Amino acid sequence: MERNRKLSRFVFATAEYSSGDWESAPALPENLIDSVARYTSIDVAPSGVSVRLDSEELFDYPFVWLTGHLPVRFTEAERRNLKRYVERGGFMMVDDHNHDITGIFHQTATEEIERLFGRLEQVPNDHEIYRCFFVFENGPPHTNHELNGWGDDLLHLHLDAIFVNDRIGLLYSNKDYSSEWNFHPETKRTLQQDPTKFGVNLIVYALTR
Amino acid sequence: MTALQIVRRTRVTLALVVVTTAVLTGFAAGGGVIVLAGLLQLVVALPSLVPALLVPVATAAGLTGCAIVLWRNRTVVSVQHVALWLEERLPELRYALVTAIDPAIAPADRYPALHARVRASDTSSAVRTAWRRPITRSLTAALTVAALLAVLQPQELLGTGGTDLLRRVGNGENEVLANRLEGVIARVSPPAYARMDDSTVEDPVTVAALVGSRVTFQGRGPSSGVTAIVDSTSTEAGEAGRGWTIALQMDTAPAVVTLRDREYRRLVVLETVVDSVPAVRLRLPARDTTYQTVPRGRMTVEAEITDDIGLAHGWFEYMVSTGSAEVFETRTSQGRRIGLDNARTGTLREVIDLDTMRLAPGTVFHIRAVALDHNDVTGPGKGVSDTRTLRIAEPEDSTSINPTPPLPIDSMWMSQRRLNMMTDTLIRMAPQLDRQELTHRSSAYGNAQDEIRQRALAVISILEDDAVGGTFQTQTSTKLREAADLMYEARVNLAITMPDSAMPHMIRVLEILDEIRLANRYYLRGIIQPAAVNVARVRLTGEDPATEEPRRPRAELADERAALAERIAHAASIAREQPDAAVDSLVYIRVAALRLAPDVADALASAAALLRRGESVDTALDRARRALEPPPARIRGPVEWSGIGN
Repeated sequence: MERNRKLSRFVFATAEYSSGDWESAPALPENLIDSVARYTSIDVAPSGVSVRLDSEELFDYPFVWLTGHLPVRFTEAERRNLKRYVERGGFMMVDDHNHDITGIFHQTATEEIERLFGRLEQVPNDHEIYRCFFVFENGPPHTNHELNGWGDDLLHLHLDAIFVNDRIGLLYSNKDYSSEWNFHPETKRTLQQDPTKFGVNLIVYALTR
Repeated sequence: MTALQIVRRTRVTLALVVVTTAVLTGFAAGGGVIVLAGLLQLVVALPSLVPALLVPVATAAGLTGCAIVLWRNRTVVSVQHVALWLEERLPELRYALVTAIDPAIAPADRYPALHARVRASDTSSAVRTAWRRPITRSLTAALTVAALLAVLQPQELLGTGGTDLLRRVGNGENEVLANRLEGVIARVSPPAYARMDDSTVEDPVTVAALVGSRVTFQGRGPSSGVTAIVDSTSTEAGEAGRGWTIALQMDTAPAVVTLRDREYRRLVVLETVVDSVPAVRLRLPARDTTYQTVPRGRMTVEAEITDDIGLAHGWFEYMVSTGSAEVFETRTSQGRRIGLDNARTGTLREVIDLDTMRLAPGTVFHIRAVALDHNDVTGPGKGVSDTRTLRIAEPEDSTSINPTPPLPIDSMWMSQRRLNMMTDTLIRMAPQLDRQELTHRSSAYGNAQDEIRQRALAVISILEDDAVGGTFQTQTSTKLREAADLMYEARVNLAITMPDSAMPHMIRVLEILDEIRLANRYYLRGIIQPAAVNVARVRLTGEDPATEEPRRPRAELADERAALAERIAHAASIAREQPDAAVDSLVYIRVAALRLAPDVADALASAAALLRRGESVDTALDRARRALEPPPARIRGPVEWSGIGN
């Protein structure tokens, strides 16, 4: 009964992996939960959870956020579970908190992902992930970190992904949404544009596609 | 030169002329038969028997022509006949030659004039004049036939039947054009890097070989018309000694080879043996660790490596990350390459100087081992170990490590360990204690065990709280629940004064608590504090308009196992009526199953073998179907009562 109730509502999950700093964006879950409630009628749990990448509980969450600054070195159990999760319909968002393609997170995370799934493919900017709720005509919205020239000093024009039967199973970003959206939701009142709207698209896509 | 010597010299010359003429005549006769067949083929379709008999007939004609010439000139071996032949062409000798060659009749010292007349004669010119005509005639005939053969190009006529027949006659086989796919052998030559010997499979149904291996099929008979088809790519057989041969390369995916010879067909499965990447296990350091102070001195790192073929070399990789917030710095370095000499197992060991790693509070130090194998076909295969993470605490971490108090697993473990020791002592002292004292102590230990169990249950309830109003089991809580159940058993046994029976449960409890204690990792930055959002307050207050597009339904995942089961069912349905077709189906299904379900592939191989022998395949196919069924699903919690009747 409890389990059914839990699965009926969307619970934002952050992936715990054994290496690195998986908990580096502590305010992000709260912020995206707020956005989901603010813009959609999705039944969303008020708090997020963290879930171990090597645990069976991973399969309880259709959308999982994974981020960090430090090297990503999965254990064999984490690799096995992640592959199963993505291939069986899960949606894993991997965001480089360093926003740096020469950074160690990018190097090690992409190595791990490509070792499991093969090469990451570029997501076309007219993909439905940019239109499934809010419309982003130019693809992924830029972050302040990119515009201010931090990290690798690049504007990343595309996101990369692992596609499973034409559906995105794992989305990889160098745009550092983990920094961009890592603020208290009340701050949105002071912002002219809500930067977390793309986060709503990610969740809507994961839940409905 | 005596008369006898002159005749003998002439005999040699004439013998050469005869042999040459015989050979040329034989060639002309044999070739003439083939030319005739070739010319006929241009005009009318020849019966299938003609190509089969052409070479034997041509050979016979050639031999006959040759024999006739030799027979007709057989007298060339006789000295008297040669002398008479010369007398015939040199009438001025007036039988001086035939007389002079016999020393008994006309010795040279008594008849010098006779011998002088012989010596004066010009026998050479007589011989020259004589051989020109037959040689010219036979040479002309042979050249004419050769020219016609060159124009007609009758290889096809000769290839399809004649050589086959000749070979079969040579092999002592009576059957003309038998199935050339019988008695096939497959020779497997593994890729050079594997350093393995070639192997041979006789009468192959399946050939298992490493990717990149050369698989050579060989059979008897001519090569013409024998082909191998893999995925619609056809390869013609080539000649090899007295048989045919086809060489194929083992690809990365299993495949079915169809060998064809006219109406005959044979299926062989090429089963791919994949060279596994090296398996690397980091032995030292044994587990992730958090240092409260910066470690100094030397540290040994060690990994054990295994590979199925042979290892090339390995090394350790180190990463040192420092920083916080948005500023992080990572240094990577690599240890020396350690050669592993193509061994199947090896050990990497290195001593690192921690003082040179520039470790500082807040540093995270990653270590992993990497090994490469010798695979130069699809590799090299790269194996990496799990990464060991050594963290060095920052002074302020003591307040921010974990905002929640640590789980009391350690204290629980120590209490259980002490209780186990006391119970052990009680068991040893039991013979010296009176019954009342024993009962009293055992009961007290039972109460202590129950107290530890209550602490375990309290921890379980903390662990299974998902912070959103529900509960769910975690790995730790499941383990702890198992320990709590064992504690209950121990407590019951202690309460009824049976410490001997309680002890095994208590030992297992200690082991489980130890596992949980060591499995827990501590994260310096702590855990995400779940902050609750007031969903009801913010619900649909966003003003930005959404333009949700209609969504397409998600494509249904192809159920490969169900598709396999369906194909197996179809093969089973035709097994009795069309066993050959069923065998072919099973071979193809098996190739599909090799990647998806190896146990199913085994069962299908058994079924195909049984069917070839004409035996029942029901049991083998049942085994395959059972192997395809999904594993039993784990159901959490009690199963809902479905109710019967009512």
